[in-house]
Amino acid sequence: MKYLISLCLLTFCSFSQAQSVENGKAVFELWCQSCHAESMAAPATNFLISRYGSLELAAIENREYPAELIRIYVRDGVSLMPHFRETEISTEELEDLIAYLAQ
Amino acid sequence: MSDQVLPPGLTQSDFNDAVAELKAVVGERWVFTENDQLKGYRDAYSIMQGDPADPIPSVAVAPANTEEVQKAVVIANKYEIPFWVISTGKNLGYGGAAPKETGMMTLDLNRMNGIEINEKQAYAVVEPGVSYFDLFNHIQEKGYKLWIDVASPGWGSVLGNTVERGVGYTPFSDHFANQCGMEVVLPDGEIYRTGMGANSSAETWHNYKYGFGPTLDGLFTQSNLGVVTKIGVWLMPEPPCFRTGYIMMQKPEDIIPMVDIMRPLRQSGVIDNTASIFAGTMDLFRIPDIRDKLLDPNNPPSQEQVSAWLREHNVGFWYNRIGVYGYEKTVDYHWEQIMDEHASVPGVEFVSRKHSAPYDYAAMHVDDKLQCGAPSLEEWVFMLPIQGDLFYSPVVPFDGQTMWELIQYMEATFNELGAIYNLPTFISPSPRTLLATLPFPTFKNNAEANAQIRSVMNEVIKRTGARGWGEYRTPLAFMDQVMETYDFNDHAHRRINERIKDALDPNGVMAPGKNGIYPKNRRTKIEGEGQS
Repeated sequence: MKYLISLCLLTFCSFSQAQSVENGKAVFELWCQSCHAESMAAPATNFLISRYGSLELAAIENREYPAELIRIYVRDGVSLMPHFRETEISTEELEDLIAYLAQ
Repeated sequence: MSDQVLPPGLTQSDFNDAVAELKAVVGERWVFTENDQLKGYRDAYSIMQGDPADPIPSVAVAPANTEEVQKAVVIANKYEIPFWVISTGKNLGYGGAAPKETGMMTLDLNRMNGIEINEKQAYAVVEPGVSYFDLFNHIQEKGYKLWIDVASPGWGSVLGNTVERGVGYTPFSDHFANQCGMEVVLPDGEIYRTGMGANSSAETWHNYKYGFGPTLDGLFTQSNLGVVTKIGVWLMPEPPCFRTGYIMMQKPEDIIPMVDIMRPLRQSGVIDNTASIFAGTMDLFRIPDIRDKLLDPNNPPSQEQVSAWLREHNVGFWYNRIGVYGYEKTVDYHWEQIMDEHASVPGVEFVSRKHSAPYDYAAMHVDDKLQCGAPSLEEWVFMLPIQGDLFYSPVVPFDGQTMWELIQYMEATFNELGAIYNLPTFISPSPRTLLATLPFPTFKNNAEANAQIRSVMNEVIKRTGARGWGEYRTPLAFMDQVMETYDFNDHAHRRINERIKDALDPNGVMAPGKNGIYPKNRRTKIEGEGQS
């Protein structure tokens, strides 16, 4: 029985995590992609090429950022990137975005 | 709620009561009073950064519908809390999400995101939280053959940009001209509908602008006379074909023929969009290795090198980006005609790209996206070296010699004031005027530099206002100064607006100081920077 409960919990957690990643992808596409896509036309990626040396490395989906840093960037902004309020990216959506970028 | 900023003149106890009432209206989740939450209601590009007066609200409230807006406004009146209104809060370069003064209540309308489309009559009805991305995506998902006109960036509110009289790049670029029918919550909480909407059974609220008697839509643009909660926006039927054309000229003074040749083409509708004239150097910022060299303070490139890059990338000293729309034969014929009209200018060059329906928006160059109303942030590649910006935006006659005079005047003024001068961009939302936009950088961690730019901006506003080049729009920190330049008949424009303000907003709660209009309980003599 204990094994069954553990299996159910594990399955639920995996489902929940997958859902979070899926939601985070939607947040990325809505708010981040226009500047951070892996494309020379995406301004933030274009700018970060000077720092990281290549288009691939400059795209944030290909990089690993600590969760807390993502929270700070989203809520405080950085450089030309403005901050985003709770009514734009909710706390839950921000955590989903972090889950997506951690993939 | 330690270190709580309070609305001016309000006790902590009254403030707590007001917050409790606001929570009862919109729900606890949508009332923000904590510093971590309120920092999102600053202007990300504020020219006041680093100054204690950089505005932040005491509380932000996010209603979900018109009824909740009404109730929040009534509470503001009850406690006499001045409130500021934002839509998506992405009015970047002109104030963002910030209120004009610290302590105001911010009414954040971003949760109001209703969209209705009438494809047959080619209009949309939108609430304040609908961004250009939202409206574009909705139309694409539904398969409507309609185009929106988009301001840059695409995060902006369709309604917010319209009531700020913003502009885009298609033939429907004058957003207020293409607005039809508003719903407004007046400063005392009453709901009003403009135009045909005044008839409660009207079927033409978003088809016919004027209704019967005085038409009041303009009162609610760039104003503090009502919270606009819904507008009709006319949309452009998707044309079968369009072409983005570039006309490149090689010398600084070529701005004169560039403008003068364009004017009759624009007035006759051969060029029927907001043609935009850019300095070629702006385009070089798209290219990372050139951008790095342009920004290297230790080894700045010579003028010869910059000229060589301009030639190599074929952008000219100036380039005029235009759009031609319609049936393919018409588009081709008009582009030929446009090239013929410019052919006499030595060194002129042309490039164009043609697109036909069905359009693959994602694959388009950013300029083409903007010219067919596909939202994007890609244009921001021009602003990469900076941490934020604000715009100085005077309205000038559609005349080449005047443009040349403005350029020389600005360069001399900036040099005299010790400020870095960047060539302006000229856009033509109407066939009879150009808007010159000069960006100023803003700094996140350099209060001294921000203060210097404020000083330069104040002087430029004063001098060019006296020259007759009034601004069409300005950031929060300069609203009083720009209004001061509209001085005919001892500032009759401000005085009549104040009389209307006092009649509609007797408690003076809605956005006092918006565009330099204050209610009677806040009017003082304006001296120098800001209100004294």
